[in-house]
Parts: sequence; C-alpha cells; structure tokens
Amino acid sequence: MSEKVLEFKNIKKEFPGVKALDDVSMDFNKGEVAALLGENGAGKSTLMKILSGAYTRDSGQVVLDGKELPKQYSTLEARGFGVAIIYQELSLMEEMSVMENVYITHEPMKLKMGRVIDYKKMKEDTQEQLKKLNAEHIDPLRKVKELALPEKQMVEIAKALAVDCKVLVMDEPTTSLTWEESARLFEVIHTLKEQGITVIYISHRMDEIFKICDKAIVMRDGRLVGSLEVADSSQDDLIRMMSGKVVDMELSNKERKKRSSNAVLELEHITDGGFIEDLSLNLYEGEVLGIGGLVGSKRTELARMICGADKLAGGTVKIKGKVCNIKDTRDAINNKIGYLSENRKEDGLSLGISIEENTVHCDMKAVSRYSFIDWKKVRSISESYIRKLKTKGTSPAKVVNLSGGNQQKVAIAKWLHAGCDILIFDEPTRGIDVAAKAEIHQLIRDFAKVEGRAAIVISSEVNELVAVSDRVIVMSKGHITGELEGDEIVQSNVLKYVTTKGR
Amino acid sequence: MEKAKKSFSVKKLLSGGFGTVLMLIILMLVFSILSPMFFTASNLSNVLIQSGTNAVISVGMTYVIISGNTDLSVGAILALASCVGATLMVDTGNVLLGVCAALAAGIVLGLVNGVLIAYLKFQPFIVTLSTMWLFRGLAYLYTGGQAVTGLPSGITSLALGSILYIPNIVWIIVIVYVICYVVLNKTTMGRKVCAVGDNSESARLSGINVKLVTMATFVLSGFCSALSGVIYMARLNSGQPIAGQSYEMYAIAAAVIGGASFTKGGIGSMGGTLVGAIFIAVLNNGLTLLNVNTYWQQVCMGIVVLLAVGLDRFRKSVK
Repeated sequence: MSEKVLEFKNIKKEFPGVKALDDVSMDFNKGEVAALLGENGAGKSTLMKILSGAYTRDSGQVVLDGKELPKQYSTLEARGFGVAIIYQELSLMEEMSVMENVYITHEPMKLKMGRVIDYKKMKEDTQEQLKKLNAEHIDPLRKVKELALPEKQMVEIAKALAVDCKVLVMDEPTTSLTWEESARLFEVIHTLKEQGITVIYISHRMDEIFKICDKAIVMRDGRLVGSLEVADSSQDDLIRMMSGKVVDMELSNKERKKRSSNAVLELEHITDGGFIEDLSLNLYEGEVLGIGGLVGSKRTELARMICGADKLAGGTVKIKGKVCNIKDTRDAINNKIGYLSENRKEDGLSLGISIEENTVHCDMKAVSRYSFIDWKKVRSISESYIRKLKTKGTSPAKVVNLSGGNQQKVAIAKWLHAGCDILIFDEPTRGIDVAAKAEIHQLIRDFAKVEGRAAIVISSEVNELVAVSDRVIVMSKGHITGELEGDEIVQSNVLKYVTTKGR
Repeated sequence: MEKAKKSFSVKKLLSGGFGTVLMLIILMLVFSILSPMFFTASNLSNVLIQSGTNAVISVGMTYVIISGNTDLSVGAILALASCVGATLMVDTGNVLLGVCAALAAGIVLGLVNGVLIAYLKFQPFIVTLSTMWLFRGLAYLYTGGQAVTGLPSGITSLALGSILYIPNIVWIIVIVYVICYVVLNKTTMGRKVCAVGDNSESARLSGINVKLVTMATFVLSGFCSALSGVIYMARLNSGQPIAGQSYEMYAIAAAVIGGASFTKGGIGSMGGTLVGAIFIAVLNNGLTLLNVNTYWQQVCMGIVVLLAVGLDRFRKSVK
C-alpha cells in the first residue's frame, strides 16, 4: 500500500528578505489523505505553489511517480503531470459551461477534422466524471456561474479527474461550506482515496483532520516540523507541533493591561445583511484587542463596516459614548477611527507615489493652507515617521521600490498621521519577517498607550494575537465564539478556539 | 537604496518629458534642414497658435488620464459649447457674455460625464463615447447643421491680437498650463487626482472623496474643451457644429507623448503634455510645409504615437 507517489526533497525557496522554504523534504503515498498543517507563513502554500508550477524552486527536487519534475514548469504542464490544486477562490470560468471548464485546455478533438472540439464527447465524458463524484445531477451544459458553491467544487474536482489526476491539493475547501455540505465533500474525498488518488488537505480545522486524514504533516517558519499518523495522535499533539516553542516576541502577562471601564468604541447589534448578525462588542480605552479566526470568519468585513469602507446594514456604532452615523471613510477619519487594510498592495497604499505623499494621504489638511500643500512640512513629517518606525527608504522614494515590511511601515505611518484615536490593524504583519514584526507590535502597543486611544488587531497568526493583545476574541462565520483575557491568552487556548467550529 | 539612486538618474533623464523634448528637438532640426520656411519667427509663432486648441483640450485630458479615466467627448463639447456661445454672441452682440456662456456650457457638459461616471458608476470609455455622439448631435440640432456666422468683431481680435508681442492664444495656453501645473503639483486637489489614479481603493480608504475628485477631472476637461472651443470660434469667426472632430484622439496623443500612461493612472505631467501638443503641431506644420499629402501625414502621426508609447515602455524597463 505504501507506494510513494510524490516526494519533495530538500526544497528551498527564498523571497527577497524571507526564507519561505528552508530545506523541506516530505513524501506522500498513493491513495492517502494527508493533512498539511501550519500557521500562516509556515510555507504550506509556497510549497503547494511550487508543486503547481506557479513558483519555481531555488533548489531541491520534486519527484512525481518516480520521475523527477523539471526545475521550471507552467501550471498547465503541472496539470498534464497529474497535479491539481483547488484553491479557496475557485479558478473556474464563470461564464463558460460546466463541461468546457472540466476539459479546459484538454478538450476532446474530432480526430479527422483537425482542431475542432468534439462537444458531444465532451458532454459524455463530463457526465462520466461527475458520476464518479456522485454529482450526476449537475448538467454539463449549465454555466458555472449558475451553480452553488459545493457544486462548483465538484466541477473543480471533475476538472482534476479529467486529466488523470494523481495528486489533488485542496486548500481549505470547507471554509465557506455548511456542515452538511462539508460532510458530503468528505464522502467525495473518501471516494477519491479509493480510486488511488492522493489528497493533500490543507485546513486549520482539527475536527476535520481527525475525521478524514490518515497522516498529518506539520510545517512551521518554512521548515518541516514532523509528520504524525493521525490515528495515534491527539489534538493537543498537533497543536503543540504547530505552535512550537514560544517565540521571544511573546508578551509577558504582566504587561497585559487590565481592561479599563471606559469604552471608546461600542458596537451594538451590528448586521451586514449576510453572515454578521446582531454582533455586539466593546473596545476599552488603552487596550489592544486581538481578533482571531479563520478565513471566512468575517473579521475584515466587520472592520470595513465600522470604518465606513462598506455599508453597515444595521446596528449602532458608538464612539466615546456618542452614536456615530459613519457614511464613508472620510466620516470615519473625522470621527477618529481608521482602518489599516490587510492588502497593502491592493488597497492600502499608492505604490507609484512617494513615501512622503502616502504618509499624508489621510490628512492633507494638516499639511496645507488654503489647499496649497506645504511640501517642507510634508517632508519633515514623513522623515520623522521614517526615523520613528525605522523605515528603510528616503522620503521622496516611491513606495513600490520598498520591501513588504517597509511598505507596511509606510502604511502604518499614514494611519498614525491620520490623527485617529481608534485604529484597526488588519493583518498588520502579513508577509513580514520576525524582527520587523516585533517592531510593528511595539508600535501598536505604544499607540494604544496614549490616553483616549485603543487598537484592534485582526490576525490569522495565533502567536501574533498572543504577542500584542490585552484581550482576544475569536470569530467564526460572523459570530463571536470566544473571549480570552489575561492569563488565558496563550497559544494553545487561542488555537483551540480558532480551530474548533463555532456552532 | 544605492541601487535605486543609480537607476533613478537614468530614469530621470528619460522621464519628466526629457525624452519627449529630445524627440521634439530632433524633429525641429529635421524640418529646419528640409524646409527653409520652417525655422522662421512667423512660422514658429504660427505653430504655437495652431497647437492652441489641442494644447488647451489636452490639459483637461491629462487630468482625466492621470485619474485613471478617458474622455472621448472633448471634441463634441468643443463644438456644442462654441455653438452655444456663438449663438448668444450673435443674438446679444456681447462677446464676453458669449464666451462665458460657452465656458459654462463646457462645465455643465463635463458635469454630465462626471456624474454618470463617478456617481452612477458607468464605464468612462462608454459614457464619453456615448456623450461624444450625444453632444455632437445636439450641436447639429441646435444650429440646424449650419455654421453660426455674423459674430461681433471683438471675437476675432481675441485670435489675432497680441499683448507684448505675444499672440493672445499663446497667452491663453501659458496661463492655462501654469494654473493647471500649480493645481496638479502644489494643491491637495491635484495630489488627490494622482492618488485616485494610482490606486483608487487605497485613496478611498484614506478618506479621499474619490467620486468628487473623479467628477472634478471631467468638469475640468469640459471646461478646457469649451475654452478650446472659444479659441476655435475666434480663429474661424464662426460657431461650427462640425468643429473638433477627432480632437479627442489628438488630446490623448499629446498626453501620452508627454508621458501620461493610458493604462495606469497616477502618471502624467503638464509640462510633458505641453511638449506633446507642440510636438503634434510641429509635425503637422512641418509635413504640410514639405508638401507631404494628408494621407502620409496620418501615417506619420500613427508612427510617432507608437514611438512615444515605445519610449514609455523603454522608460519602465529601465527601472
């Protein structure tokens, strides 16, 4: 039974300033379901992207079915090798039919007539593939956009099977599924296993791993920590392996502030008209509140609503006891509440513009008179933040030329300059090395220390929540599922809340 | 960081319009050699006057392009606004009133574009493509397809007159460019236009009123088109509903030759656009002096814009 189908040997991959994968070796057997575990930034997705051809490895070997794969190959070629990856954001062509998606780039051709697609065969073959997945109710001729999410997942799996898939990677497939839909997906995974397909299953949810996986492989900080047979291990074993040794950026419990009685932000019965329903939450003066949860927990959505980036469907927001009707981001800043977005590249910074200009974007009034900008003042403000935040870059340099960590510092400088009392930091250290992380954590804690202020940190990294927060809440699918204070804030506790399903 | 500095100097040499200036100088040299009539004071002043309508439209177009959009309706606004102004001038005999009416019409038409694009979220390309036909059609309907003639004599002195030996039209160009340069580079509004063009979502999250800024660029574009319409009207001493056909293309070309990026907002400069507009005028003037037929002139125009875009690519790859 233990026939090796996929082996990674000494894989190394470095991004500018970050060792994403450091000498990682692991192997997978034919027909097994293996869980790949690790916190964000552990290197799971980098490894999978190397497998899929999206990234090129710096060194090391990938052996599939006894054959070494070339150093560089395209994602299309990877599909030909028999490697398929199903990402959280499905990669289907919404406007095309189910069968066209299943056979995309591998369309059956009418042999005698050259490059003409044989739609009849395509339809029959699609039906056959779907049958294997007990999903014959899906009409191959329907457009993908008309399907529900679990059906789309089936189409993705059928697409993988259509090219004789040997290894199927699934990246958190259940985050947007209901409990029943997840159970159905597990049945399909079981069928795939019986057909001899190896499934690499990436998930943060412990209960699922114990339900469907044979083996669990744990990664941390770009290295392999170890591999366990799921049958002989407990949930605590896995959590211990994932979180590892306590990193030095851990906040000692003495430093954690006791919650003051003075609420600076009160959310009452907040609703977004979808997942978030009747959510109430208080933020107290001087504290750093960490919000944990998995992808799909709607933490970002909550933050964007409070800060006027998205529409609030219902409920009231009180800032320092006053009801605020925040219509847009300008309103929010005027009410002294700001939101540092999770994607600095997409919506956090103007990359083509200088550091100094980005720094003053939230409050141009402070640096202008009669709307004429005082460039000297801009320069001096920008330089003071560069010194304070130890940003590596000169004031007039374009942000696009900075490293991720330094870009993040510019984004933080921008919000510090905005003059807000309440700042929401969404994934403030994503993709940033450990040293810079500790600095940013200190900045956030310093910010909240000032009288009348408080901060919220949204993070998917448990050790980050432990490192910065005075109080931690955990969200799942739009609901608060747990709250931790003081001594309770340790990695294992937070992980337990995050990884067990809310309701 | 040092590496960044090094490449910066090379980049600086080619950006900021210097590459375009170099092209302009080469072009002028070539024409001076080929035609003895080209490098004379009267011809050069003529070139500047000819560049006037396009230069002024290009200012608004540059703002629109920097904010990440396009305005195809500028030529039609030019026609409609100048016809409105001309009619009023003929009716009242008051030049100033007619000019003000034309400019006001330009602002209103720009506002129509701006509201549709910024507040109703229509595609800028489609909106201005539609209003290009719409405004042009209205100009024909308004005038019955006929040129509006019999304008008061005051209007021609605007085109022919000069102050301190410098033609009025050149003064208008200089004033418009100086004001718009200052606004773009020294005021919060100008910087907001750049911020919106570079990353509109980031700008929104930073509390910038993206809708208002976007609308303002279209209003400016409408105003500039109308001002250009006034110059056109003054030079031809009539209001022409047919005026300004395909001017949007010349304006886009001027901005792009001047370094504005048609695909990515946030990039572009007033100086570059001015050089671009003069470049186009020099090219047309020189080719005409050399008796090149109009078909070949169009071929040359196409090649020049391609060269300009190529230069833009090269500039980026240097980085």
